[in-house]
Amino acid sequence: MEFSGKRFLMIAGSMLGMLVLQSTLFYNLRIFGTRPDLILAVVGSIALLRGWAQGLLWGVLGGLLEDLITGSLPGSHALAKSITGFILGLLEGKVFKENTLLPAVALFVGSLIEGIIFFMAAGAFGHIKWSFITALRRTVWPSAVVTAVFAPVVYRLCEHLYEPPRFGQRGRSL
Amino acid sequence: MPEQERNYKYLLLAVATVLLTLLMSIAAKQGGKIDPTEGFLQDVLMPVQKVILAFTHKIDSTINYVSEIRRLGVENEHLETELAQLKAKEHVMIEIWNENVRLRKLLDLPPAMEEFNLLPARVVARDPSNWYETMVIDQGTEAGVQVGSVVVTNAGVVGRVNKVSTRSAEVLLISDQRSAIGAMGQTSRDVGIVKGGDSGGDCRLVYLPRSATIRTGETVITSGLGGVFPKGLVLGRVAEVSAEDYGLGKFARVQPAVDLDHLEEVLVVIGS
Repeated sequence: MEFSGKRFLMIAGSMLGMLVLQSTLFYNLRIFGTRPDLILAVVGSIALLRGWAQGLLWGVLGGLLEDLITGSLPGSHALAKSITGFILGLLEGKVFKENTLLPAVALFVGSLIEGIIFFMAAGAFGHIKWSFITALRRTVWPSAVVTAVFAPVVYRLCEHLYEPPRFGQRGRSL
Repeated sequence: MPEQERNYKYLLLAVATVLLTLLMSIAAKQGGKIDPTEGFLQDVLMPVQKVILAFTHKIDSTINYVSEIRRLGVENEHLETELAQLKAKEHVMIEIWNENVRLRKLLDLPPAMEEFNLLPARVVARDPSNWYETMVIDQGTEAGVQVGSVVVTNAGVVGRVNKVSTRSAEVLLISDQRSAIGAMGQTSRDVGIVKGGDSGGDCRLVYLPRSATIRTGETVITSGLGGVFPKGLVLGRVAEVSAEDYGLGKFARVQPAVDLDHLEEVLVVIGS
């Protein structure tokens, strides 16, 4: 796993910016009453592009950031997002990355997985009072649909960030 | 090598899972305390969130002002009439209040309604996830806010403080699925518990007996049972009354009295 300090700061900064904007300016921006999980969209896109290790790493970091800024139990989003990032990262090299449907389908499934893991993790510590069916109907399912809608855009932005060196160019070490 | 790599990656996943579960169990034991990292991040981000939110409200109010200028004129006339009527009623209320105080003194009863010290606070952020309904306010322990402090507006109850740091606090809204408040119908006096997490940001008044006479449109207030919320604060209005599964009891869908999605300023009850 190549490491780039500048890229690391860019992704971490973008995640922080997204969370701040979603908790303020875009708070009332909802589709079917649900907000997209943009942090998961970033984690999932990086995992699809760069593999399980980066999926796991960004899942932990993005989730922890979300846990610290939002009212959730510290570690709960990090656990759900890191496992989801890891699973989506296993697809790297096995799917055709240029396919436009890939990020939407992968993030839809990823979001369902993340929601179920979060329900189990936070629920085990008494931070979710809903039943599994209620959580699935009210949050997990709508969030998966809305996140899948935003996934292609986020995926293209991440792809741009991780653009591989082209023929005739020197390998980027950022 | 592939075998070794496979083992290595699952080992890493297992380590991350164990560490994060450990973090969750430690955090769960802390209860209402915000750990230093969380408190620091919240305090550092607060000015940025404050500026962005103030900007958002400015845009919102400008758009609303332009689009609703005609409606506001009509509403103003209506409100002036209502104000005049309420002023007339206020004199009667003061008379009844004074009589109530005199009679309570006569019977040596303590006052039923407390008077509160209220601390104004500004909303600086909201929880962007779809799981929880919380918000961050710009007052913390420095100003006297504590875990469990009740948060209200002039319309009714907003929620209670869930976590607190020196200069900010996290408020658990009444619409959050973790919220449960002792409540009753203002007219029917039917007692139950208002729980959050219903669809569309509504709450649900549960554990009503089959004989409950609560009706659609009735105001729901806090019952004072449970010790966190004082008695008599407005929670919302009954939108619908239905029978529980198997007909054992009733429940009512309650629309919160406060517009929880568009809050800018709130009042924190810091003592009575």
